Parts: sequence; C-alpha cells; structure tokens
Amino acid sequence: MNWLRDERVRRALLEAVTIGIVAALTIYIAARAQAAGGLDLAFMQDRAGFGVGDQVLTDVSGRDSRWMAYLAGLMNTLRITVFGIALSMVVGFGVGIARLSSNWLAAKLAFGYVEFVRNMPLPVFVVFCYTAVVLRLPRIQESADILGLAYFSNRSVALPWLSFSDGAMAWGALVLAGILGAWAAHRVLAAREEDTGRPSYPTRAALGILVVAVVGGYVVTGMPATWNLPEVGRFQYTGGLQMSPEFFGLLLALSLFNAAFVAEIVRGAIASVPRGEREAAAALGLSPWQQLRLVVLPQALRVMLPPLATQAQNLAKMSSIAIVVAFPDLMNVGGTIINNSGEAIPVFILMTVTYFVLNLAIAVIFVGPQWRFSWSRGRRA
Amino acid sequence: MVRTLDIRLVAGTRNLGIAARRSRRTRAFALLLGALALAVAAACSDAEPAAVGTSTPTPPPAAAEGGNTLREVRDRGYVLVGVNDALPGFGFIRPDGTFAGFDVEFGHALAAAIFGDRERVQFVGVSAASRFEALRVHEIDVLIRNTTWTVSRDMQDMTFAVPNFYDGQGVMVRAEDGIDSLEDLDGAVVCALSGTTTQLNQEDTFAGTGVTYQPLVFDRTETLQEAFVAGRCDAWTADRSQLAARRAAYPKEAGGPEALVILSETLSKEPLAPATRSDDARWSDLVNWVVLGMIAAEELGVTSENVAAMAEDPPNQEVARLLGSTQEGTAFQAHPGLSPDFMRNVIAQVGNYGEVYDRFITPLGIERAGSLNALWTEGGLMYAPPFR
Repeated sequence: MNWLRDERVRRALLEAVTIGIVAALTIYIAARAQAAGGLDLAFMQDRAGFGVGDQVLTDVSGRDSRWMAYLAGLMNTLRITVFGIALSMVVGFGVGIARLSSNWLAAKLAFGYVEFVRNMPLPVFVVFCYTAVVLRLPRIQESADILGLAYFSNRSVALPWLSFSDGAMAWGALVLAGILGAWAAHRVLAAREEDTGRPSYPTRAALGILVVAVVGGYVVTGMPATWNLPEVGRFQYTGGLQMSPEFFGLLLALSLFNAAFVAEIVRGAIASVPRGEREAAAALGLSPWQQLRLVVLPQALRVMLPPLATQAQNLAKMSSIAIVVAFPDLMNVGGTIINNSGEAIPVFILMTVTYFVLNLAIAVIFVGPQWRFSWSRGRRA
Repeated sequence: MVRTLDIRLVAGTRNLGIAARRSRRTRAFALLLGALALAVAAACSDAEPAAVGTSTPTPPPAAAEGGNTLREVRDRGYVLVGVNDALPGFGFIRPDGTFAGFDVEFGHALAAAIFGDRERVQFVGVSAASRFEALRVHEIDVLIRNTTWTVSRDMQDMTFAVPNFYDGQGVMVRAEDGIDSLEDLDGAVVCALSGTTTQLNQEDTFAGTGVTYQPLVFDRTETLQEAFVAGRCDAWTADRSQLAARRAAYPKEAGGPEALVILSETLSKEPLAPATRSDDARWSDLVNWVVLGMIAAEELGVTSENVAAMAEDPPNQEVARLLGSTQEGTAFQAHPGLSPDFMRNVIAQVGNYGEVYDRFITPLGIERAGSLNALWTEGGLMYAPPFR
C-alpha cells in the first residue's frame, strides 16, 4: 500500500472520483430526462398557434413553427440584455464615480439612489417602472410629440429613422473605411506629435476624414437613405423606429436596477487603488480628470471586470422576469409553448441550455479584455 | 503564441514550471481513471430508462372502493364541494367568511336534495391546478368550479354533469373606441392572461378572419387591468363570465362598467359543468339530476315562492313527479337514495335555475335573454329531459 502515500496517486484518485461522480450524475439525469420524453423535441416543429407581440428583426406569426416563436423570444431576450447591459454600465459608471466625488450633492444623490434601488425587490421595481412611469405616458390619441418628428405615448415611442434603399451597403462600406482611415490617421499623427513635439492636429484630421467619408459617400452612392417619419394611426404609429412600452419599461427597470450594483463595483474598484498612486499623479501635475483617466481607472478596471461580468450575467438572467410587464422574452414564449404543448421538461431543458450559452458568451466577452491586462502586466514585469 | 510565452514568464521560476508539468501528468492519469468510471456508470445506468419506463405508465391505483359516495356523504353528515374562492359571481368568499356565488348555490342545492337542509355542505376552495387532484383523492365529493367540460377531461377519471353555465371566450373593448366587431380590431393591441388556452383560441379566430393583431400577454390580472385602464390595450380577451365580472368591478375613476363593451362574438366554447369521479355512476346521476331538476323547475314555472302550493296541488303530472307529490297514495321515486320530494327541498331552499342565475349572474351584467343560458323554449340551451 506504499503507492497510496504517493501524493501524485492520491491526487489522481481524488480527481478520478470527482470526474466519476459528475459523469454518473450527468448520465443519470440525462437518462431520467430521456425516459420522461425530455429530449424529444419533435413537438417544437408543430404550428405555434400564438403570435409574438413585440418583434425586431424577426417576423414570426402563429402559422410558423414553435421553433420560430422560440427564436423570436430569444431575439427579444438578446435585445433587452444587450441594451440593458450597455445602459446599466453607462449609468453605473457615472453613479459610481459620483459617489466618490468631492461634490457633496452629487455624492449624496448617488448614495441615495444606490441605497434606494439596492433595498428593493426586482419584481416590485419592474412593475413600478412599467405601471407608474411608462403607462402614465399619454394615450396614442393625445401623443406628446417633438416638432411632429418624434411621438411619445403609452402605445409606443416612435422616433424618426432612416429607411435605406439600393446603395446603402456601398455607403456603409465607405463609412466603415472612413472610420478605419480616421483611426489610422489619428494614430500616425499622434505618434508624430509625440516624437517631434510639433502640433500635428490628429483629432481635427481624423474628424475631417470621417466627415468626408460619411457626407461624400452619401452623395457618391446616390443618397441611399431618407428619413422615415412616424405618423399617428388609429391603434399604432406607422413608420419610424418604434420601441414598445414593455421593452422601454423593462429596459428602464433592469438597467437602473443593475446600475446601482455596477456603481458599487466601480466605487469599490476605484477605492482599491492605493491612495499613493493618486497623490503621485497629483505630484506630477496631472489634473483630477487626468489622474482618474490615466492612473486610477486603468488599475481599477482590472479589479472590476470579473464582478462586472457577473453583474452583466445577472442582468441577462433577471430579464426572465419580463412576463410581469408582458414583454415576450424567452421565458414568456417558452411558458406559452409549455402551456400549449404540455411538454414542460423539454422546454425547460431547452431554456436552461439557452440561458447557459448566453451567459457563457457574456462571460467570454467581459473576461476577454482581461487577457490584455494580464499580458500587459506580464510585459511590464 | 506571444501571449502564452508571456504568461509562462509571469509564472516565473523554474520550480513552478516543474510543478505544472507534474500536475499535467497527474491529470492524464486522472482522466484515464475518469473514463473508466464513466464506462462503469454508463453500464449501470443502461438499466435505468427501462426501469423508469415500466414504472411511469401504470397510473397510481385509484381509490379502491367501487364508490358509494352517497353513503359516505350521509355518514359524514354533510357534502364536500370544491368551488372557486376568487371569481366574483361564480364562487367567492363573503366578508363574513362564507362562500357565495352561482356555483356555490348548486352545492347548497345538493345538500338540500340529500339532507333536506341547504346548510349541510362544506365548501373547499380549490385552485385551477389542484381541482382535479382534489376530486380524485376524495378531498371533495363534487367539483363545481367553473370547469370546462372537454373530451380529454371527461375520458379520464371524471364524469361531467350537464353544464350549468355556457361560457365562451369573449372580447371586451372601451365603448368610446367605437369598436363593434372583431373586424374593427385590425391592427389593435389585444391583452390576455398567460397560462390558459386563450391565446390559441384568439390566434385561431383572428387567423380565420384575416385580422392582424398584436398580442400582449400578462401573468397577473392587476397589471393587465392597469395597462387596459391606461389605454395600452384596445381589447381584453378572456372567458365572457370573467370579462363580465371584471367589467362590473371596473374602477369608477376609469368610467365604471358603462365605459366598457363586451363584443357579441365568441371565440371558443366553454361549457362549465359540475364534475364527479367516474367510479360512482349513481352519485354522478344524482348531481346531474339536481341541476336538471332546477332547469325543469324553471321551465314548469315552479319557483321558491310557489313551490309549497304547487306541491300541495300540482297543476299537472310533470310537476307532481318533479316535486314528488303524493297522488292517489304513491309518490314518484326518481332516485333510490333520495326521498321522493328532494326537488321540492331544492326549489324551496335554493330556487330554480332562473332564480339562482338572477341572484348571482345578472348583477354581473351578463344578459341571459338571447344567450345560450336561456331556456330552450326561449332559444337557449337549457333543456331538461322529462321527469318520468
């Protein structure tokens, strides 16, 4: 039994037992699900028989298959997640920095906001944002408007939008080229300015290239975009870019809710940068904004990325509350499919896998920049 | 390439490198062992699906006795009736804690038929999800809870009596919007509750007429009503009885019931009927005939006011048989377990079908004349086979 004293063997045995338990559990669950008909998804090809109300990029009707309805729900979950994460990060950074501000009012306001939101259950907050804020917008017949260009009502928020015709792709390519060109020019000129010490106006040059590419490209490609203005109809607006009140209310609630947590993460990360760093930066004569941007934030960012990724994943998972404000997300549509087909287990497995993949993707996107940090730190070391 | 190199540099010292290499060899060994364990596990679990497969199809043994619910009820001294506890008009709890409503009255009618006393009944509030299980496990003797009679439910271990209310999915709109029919709803926003077949019926009907609509599915009535009051939805679809109840309770500041109209079109059939266990046909017949007796009473003009006089001096043989009046020494015996005059007690203590309807459904604003719930003599579906 001497080999049992070998640390390598013991460790290998432990790992083998762990893998064995996990594998056995997985196979057992899969077998149970299989026995319950949980892995047979043939019913998803049947006619859905119900419509999905709020769709962007998809156009699924009750005549399509359940898969298509599921896809429409998934697109809605993606939409609320992407915009929710973006908005909560912007608001959260602002509030988090404001909490550390030397301005008394800004700091107290930020503190009050964070505490108010953090101590409220999410469903209450979502229903509040929907019924007390969004539904209080005027009715469609009495729409509020801005110069007749944009309309606000509790039926929808309608904004002017571009409608594209032939040549829009070419224009898009020119704009993209302009952005790349402007970026390259800025880089080259900024490097020259740094090397030679002579002003080379990198920002002005980049802006000039961008304007020429956008405006010039628009004319050259034959003006492929025109404004599409919304008009008030009987039940709905026609034309323009429309955002449903459910999406608006849920976006408001999810992003404001998560922004409070983001603000705390940002505050904590900034506070974790040693005080001496900032004092040293001040001693070098950097302005408060430069201290924050050049010295504090780069170090704080490294600390805050993992919790920020968790928070973004939280938002994606929290979006499954959408049904309380009738937003047809994945969970809402999945629930309807369960009700109509009676196939609860397969649909729940499907939803679990979908949310799992979505959250993995968010983790990869957020942890991605970390590689850069660890690399640059390694290089500096 | 560059990145991995740099990471190795960060990892640093030679010792750490060795540790990493050793742990890699350990891991390979572990993986091998793991694969072995996996194979063993797979072999073990092969038997699993078969075992599960054989155990699931056999239904749990139904309550063994061939069913003598009537004797059970008599021994107990009261009848157990499963009802709704939150649907205005049909089944709800009064502020003093007693049950009341249209469905509840039929429970009282059963007690009056069996014991001659409408109060010898105990009501059990059951949810939509738990109602069938409550009936199956003998928690209740009969289920009278706005339950739709469908083929799948009837073919399982339940039997339905004659419907006491013919419901159907309807559409409610604001009166000021000038919507008169489903065609007027082209492009409109239609609100509904999730978790029912409402959406399926809606899609079927609208797809048939070529009308496009935008569905909005809520999970709570309160939020739905809030959205409807705020003008977010143009139409609200649900069972007509529920729409009527909601309409009757529509907030005053939003215009009250007059601000709303229920369209005449019906999107689906929802016959609501009492249900019993299918293992006791005599009991099912009893429940069925108490409902039918109340319908027959209305047709024959017997009410709670004139029932005593009618029983003493029946105007015709049909009434005499219905009320069990003694004629030339004998009384018509309809059911072996009941006294001949059981319907007399029911009508005297509860009333005929029309009286019960007027007491609970008319206040909701659901018009009876011209609807399916009118007597067959007035063009409705309320029709009782002859008492003889």
